[in-house]
Amino acid sequence: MNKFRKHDSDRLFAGALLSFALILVLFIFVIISVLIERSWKSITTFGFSFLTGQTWNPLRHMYGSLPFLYGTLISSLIGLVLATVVGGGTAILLTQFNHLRFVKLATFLLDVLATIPSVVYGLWGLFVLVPWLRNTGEPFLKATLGFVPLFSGQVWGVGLLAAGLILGIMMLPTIISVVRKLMDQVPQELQDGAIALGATRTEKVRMVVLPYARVGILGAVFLSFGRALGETIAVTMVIGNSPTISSSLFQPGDSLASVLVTQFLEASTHLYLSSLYEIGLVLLIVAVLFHSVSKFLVWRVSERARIA
Amino acid sequence: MNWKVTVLVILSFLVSSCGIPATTSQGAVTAKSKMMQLTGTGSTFVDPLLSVIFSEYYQATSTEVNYQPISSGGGIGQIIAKTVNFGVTDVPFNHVEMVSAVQSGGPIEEMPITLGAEAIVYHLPQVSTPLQLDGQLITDIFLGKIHRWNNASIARLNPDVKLPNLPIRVIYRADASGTTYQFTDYLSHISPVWKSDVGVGKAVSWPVGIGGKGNAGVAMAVRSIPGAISYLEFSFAKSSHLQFSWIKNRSGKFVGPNFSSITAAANQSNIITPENFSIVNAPGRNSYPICAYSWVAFYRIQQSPIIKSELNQMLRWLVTKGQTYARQLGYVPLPKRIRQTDLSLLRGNWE
Repeated sequence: MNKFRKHDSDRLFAGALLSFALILVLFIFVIISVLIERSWKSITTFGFSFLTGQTWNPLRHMYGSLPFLYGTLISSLIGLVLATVVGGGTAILLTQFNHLRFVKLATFLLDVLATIPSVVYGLWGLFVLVPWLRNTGEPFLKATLGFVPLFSGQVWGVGLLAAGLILGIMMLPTIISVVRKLMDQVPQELQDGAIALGATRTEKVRMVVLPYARVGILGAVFLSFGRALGETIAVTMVIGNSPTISSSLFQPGDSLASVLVTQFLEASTHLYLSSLYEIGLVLLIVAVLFHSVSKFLVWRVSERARIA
Repeated sequence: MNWKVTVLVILSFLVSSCGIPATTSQGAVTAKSKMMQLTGTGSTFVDPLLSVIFSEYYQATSTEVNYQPISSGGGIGQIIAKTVNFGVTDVPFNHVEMVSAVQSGGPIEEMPITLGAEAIVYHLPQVSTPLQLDGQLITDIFLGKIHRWNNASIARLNPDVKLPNLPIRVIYRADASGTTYQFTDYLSHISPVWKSDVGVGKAVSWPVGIGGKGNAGVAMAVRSIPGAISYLEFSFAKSSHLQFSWIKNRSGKFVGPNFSSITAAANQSNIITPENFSIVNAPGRNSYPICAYSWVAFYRIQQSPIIKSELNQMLRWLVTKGQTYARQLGYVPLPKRIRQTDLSLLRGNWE
């Protein structure tokens, strides 16, 4: 009798848990189906050319998402490079050279950085970073590297570079904290062994710590990239909101998430709204695609490490 | 729970969530006691004016008017979805919107409720006197044909101003807006090139420049970027303390946006209809060339007689007594003739 009741309550509990889990499944289904249903008109009207079209002109009913895709990827890529170099370096400093008194302060500041809302990053970008880029940073790059198309053209301050820098700064706390945890997990015996064999600290980092943690680092980098793809408000404030494709990082651009937040509320015609829903769908697909690729990469690297 | 049930549950959720029709709350009336409530939504431009007018209206009649300033396009959308009693838009319904509205709830009535203008705002640190611009120059700037502030054609119109050697940075509205519609309408009246290459609309493909979101975003961009130029609702330009230019009107006189020049422009057109509503580039010596009306829209046929008479009474108050609050808030009251047209529309509809 007692046993039977116990069994019953287990079932009840499991059922409740299942229903919670189902909500999650349901959520994903609803989001995807609504996105597809709402963007159907745009999908059927433009087909594949929605992804390759370079013109976004609501007045002429021409909707191509390539400028937004381009802006999203380029700005995220700039951020990624910045965050990986600076963040990776900081993480190495904090874990491998941790006798420095600086570590405690840096850790505290990183926690602060991680809690700042993105709109504050955006404001800082608009009022501090952008004027600096316009008056000092970009003119300097133009004067020294102006022969490269990436650093040519009119200097605005706002644009792909500003968006990328802001994204990079926003990614820093995540990258640093994850990479730090990974490096802390490198077995002490291996590290001591390297030192015992006569390696310098730098050689130990290069030959033992980084190879051991590289899978996780790759994962952290991709995780941050995925976050950068969908970052909205901070990017909107500094990217320039101009749906154009330019080879210069100084030029204004636009991103998928940003065009949604700027244009969605006012979109009046069915096709316009539908195209914006498709932008949302594209953003979702890009994010999922990226997530899958990163999972696969991490899996492959860890698999190879396991075999070796 | 077996898997069939699970699938069924998921499917039923999907069906119900995809197919929810827009709920009709046209009878947004609280039946309790005699307190009435009307709901409206739309243009953000008129919000400061409407919030004062509706609060005064509540004092006078104890009818509550709940206005949500989401956007002109939003106002049109909510009218089509029949979720509000009235919508406010800076540009009347276009053909496509009208067709959807008629399918949704029958014929739409639209009438002007206030008058506004657009200022050409700019950011030139060393320049204190207002610049003088003409339509062709503004068009060339926004087409990207003029690149620097000390360009000869700007200097020719401003002989007394020491123009800085700064790049011209064009700022536009990134979101679709009535403000953009009116500005591009003006440029199209001036320039056939603009009309054919860019066109008139709430959102166009801009040849040069960067976008700011909303009036506030544009104002912030202009304030922070030296050499910036943009267009802003006049009352907004004034309250954000930006420099704005004088514009050469059709009579060849340079006119700044102000109470009398906007009124003068509006007085040039006696008949304003939702089909023929543009008053940009108005003739007249004192007319400011970029002016426009804001419109209220509602269904001619109302299901509830109570709502119908309340709406009628409120709108009548809005275009008569309500207009007296306009001036102190930086808006321009409707010209007398327009007010009379509004009143006769309301009379024809309800009596």
